[in-house]
Amino acid sequence: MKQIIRAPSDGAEALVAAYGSLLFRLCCVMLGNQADAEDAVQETMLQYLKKHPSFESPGHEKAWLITVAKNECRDILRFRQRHRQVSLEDWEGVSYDTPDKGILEALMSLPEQYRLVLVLYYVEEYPVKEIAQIIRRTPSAVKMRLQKGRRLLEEIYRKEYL
Amino acid sequence: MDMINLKNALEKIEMPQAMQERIVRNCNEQLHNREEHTMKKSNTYRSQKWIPAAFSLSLFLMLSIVGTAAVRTGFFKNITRWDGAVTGSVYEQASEEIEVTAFADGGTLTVSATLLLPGEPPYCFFETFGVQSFQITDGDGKVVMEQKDPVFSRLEDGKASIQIPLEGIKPGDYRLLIRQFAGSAKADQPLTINGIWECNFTLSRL
Repeated sequence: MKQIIRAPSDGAEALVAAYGSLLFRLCCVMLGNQADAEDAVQETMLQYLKKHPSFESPGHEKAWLITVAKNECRDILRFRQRHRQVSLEDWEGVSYDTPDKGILEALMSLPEQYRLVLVLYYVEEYPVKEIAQIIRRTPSAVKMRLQKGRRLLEEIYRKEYL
Repeated sequence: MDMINLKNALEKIEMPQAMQERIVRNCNEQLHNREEHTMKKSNTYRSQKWIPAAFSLSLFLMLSIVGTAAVRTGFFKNITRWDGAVTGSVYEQASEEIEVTAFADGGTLTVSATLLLPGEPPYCFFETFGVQSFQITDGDGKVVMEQKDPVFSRLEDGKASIQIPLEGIKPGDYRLLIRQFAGSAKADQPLTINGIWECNFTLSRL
């Protein structure tokens, strides 16, 4: 049985270097706020370091981290729904003034369920089957979300930014 | 709209260096605090009246383990899939449960592994025992040989003599660092045993 062995000395630094940007990107898209994304990534890393799980392969490790990050984002979103607050920071804090700001803003205006599948499919290049396992839905539901997400994204982008 | 644009736009989002450093610092701090809290908790006596009872129990345990050659330090740990499903197990922290010596003769390195707890699980189930992952370093600390595939040998009276062919190594003094052993029984999947074992050997002739 192959397993990943991460020496204790590797710790947080190696973990952040390996998966930091991937998780940060995902959390930014889910939360639309850099400070919350940072909290979600930190919580995800902490869970990993506390549990120190052993995995079959790096793919399983990555999928585990994505799932935990997704759940952390959901918790933060739920908290936000209960405790309405004015965000001091908007999406511009994350986009770093790239010319693609319009696409990012259009993506952020989509409901959360579409954002996650679009990022996992188009950016992280996960197959539909694996996305279905991560978000605990059927592959056909994932396909539907992709289709609807694409359509909504295009509509918003055309209407607001073209 | 082309989805390539979306991919390109999102791939430009990188975690800033300052944020990476902040997360690492916070994680290390929280882990340290947690460890300290656990230590404090285990060091605190809840009530004075338990002290005599704890003292007698520890005395009894000390007396009962007198004569035991090795102290059990290892434990089993599950190997999981990303969704938490258990797909196997591994035995951790076994450094104190196996004694290792090595000598080289000709082009072969013989590693003698002695199980210090041969009658206890998982060791009592093994029929063959082998080195799974090791490194050989020279006097300068340079890795001259590395292997991650198991080399097995028959286990007799809690001892295994594992022969490893030395390839491309010149005569000299070396250090063997074993990180994983593996034990197996008939029709069973090999069990990986993690720990750190180090020993020196000299290769005088090829």
